[in-house]
Amino acid sequence: MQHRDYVFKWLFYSLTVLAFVLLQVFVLVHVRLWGIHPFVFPALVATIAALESPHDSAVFVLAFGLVLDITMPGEIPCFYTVAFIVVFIVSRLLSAKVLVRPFFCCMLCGILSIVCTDLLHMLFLNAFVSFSFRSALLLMGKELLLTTPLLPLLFLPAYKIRRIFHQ
Amino acid sequence: MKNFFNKTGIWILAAAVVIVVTLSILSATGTGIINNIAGAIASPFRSAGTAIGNWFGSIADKFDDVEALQKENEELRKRVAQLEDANRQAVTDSQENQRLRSLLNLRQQRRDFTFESAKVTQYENSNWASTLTLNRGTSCGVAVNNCVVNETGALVGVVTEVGLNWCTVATVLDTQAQFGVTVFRTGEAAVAMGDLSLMHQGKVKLNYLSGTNPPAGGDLVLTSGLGGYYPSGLVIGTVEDVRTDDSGLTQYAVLQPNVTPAELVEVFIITSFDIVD
Repeated sequence: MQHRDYVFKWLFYSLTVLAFVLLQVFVLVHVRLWGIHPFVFPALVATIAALESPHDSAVFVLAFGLVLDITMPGEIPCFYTVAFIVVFIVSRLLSAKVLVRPFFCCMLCGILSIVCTDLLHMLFLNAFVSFSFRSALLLMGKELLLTTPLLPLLFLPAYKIRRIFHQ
Repeated sequence: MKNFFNKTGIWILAAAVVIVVTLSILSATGTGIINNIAGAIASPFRSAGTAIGNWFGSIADKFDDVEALQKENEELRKRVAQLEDANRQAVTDSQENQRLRSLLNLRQQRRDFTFESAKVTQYENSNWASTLTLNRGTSCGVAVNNCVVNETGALVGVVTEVGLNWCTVATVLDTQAQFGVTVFRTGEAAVAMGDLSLMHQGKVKLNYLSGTNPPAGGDLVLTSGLGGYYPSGLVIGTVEDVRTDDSGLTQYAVLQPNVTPAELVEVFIITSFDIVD
């Protein structure tokens, strides 16, 4: 791939990610069912990590995590960076060893990314407050139910970009 | 993947460790400088985005059911009449209270608050916390632990992080929010705190009830102001239900807060207060 194509590919990926960030921040947070809203960031990371090469996607995962940690500060200062590294490793292992078909691979990676992120949330939250593990698992289940239907929406543009630049 | 870890992957993971350590160290001393700068730059964009979102929301509101609005209006008129009646009685009581205080040479009651109005620029993205980002920061005198109220004076939450032109508020629903409170009818002291299972129902847990004088449904709950950390008398909500916890030994109450954080557009930060009861 030429250097120019490489730059354009990641420019398109960045624009796609930006569009989904805006969708999450301004639209999806208001779409509530059972008091929960869909959360697409981990699935977005998993999709790109599963489709792209390990080195490129690792840099993307680090950069995206860093940007979110800086612009959306929370109780844990580096939560997204840590969570996205875990998501990246899981996605790479699955895409390289288990599933070859991109669609099914991305769907599974997306689901596992939400599970990983929520388990990390539980782990970090446990350090600060006491909470019922059952209610935390219930929250994870609801988040999965709400976010899973959006996974093909994340997959399609990323797969399209990949196909255009890898032909 | 194995190849990845053998070569440049090691450097990328090392970079990740450096990022994590740097962010942790920077945030250990209050709001990190990087967070502060990024927040200051992002604040106008957040405001613009939220303004567009609210504009779309206001268009949708215009299509609300007229019949439901008329019914609500009728109920509100009745409520206003009841409150006007109660207010007349309260004015007489207040005047009597002032006369008696001056007779007994007691200090006059007063409640002085300094408010800073702020717009909500961002709502919490994850489902594991309940926070709001506002467009006011240290440049307007906002500090960590300042209380935030809505236009009716009901408690929204407390400032947990502050930057130059932004601040983050943990709402009363957040799992890390804790307030000393009193039940208005009984005067019983308790602690209102966010709970993970109640957070998504928009409710708050009232813990450490004495058991001798338990609250009942409909009881008003206010901040106690004990310790002078937060102002007293801010309305948190009303008791909805009293339950026994899983151990069967202690009781807790479920509060319905007077605010719905997801629907807030404008709030008021109490930057300083002086209360004499």
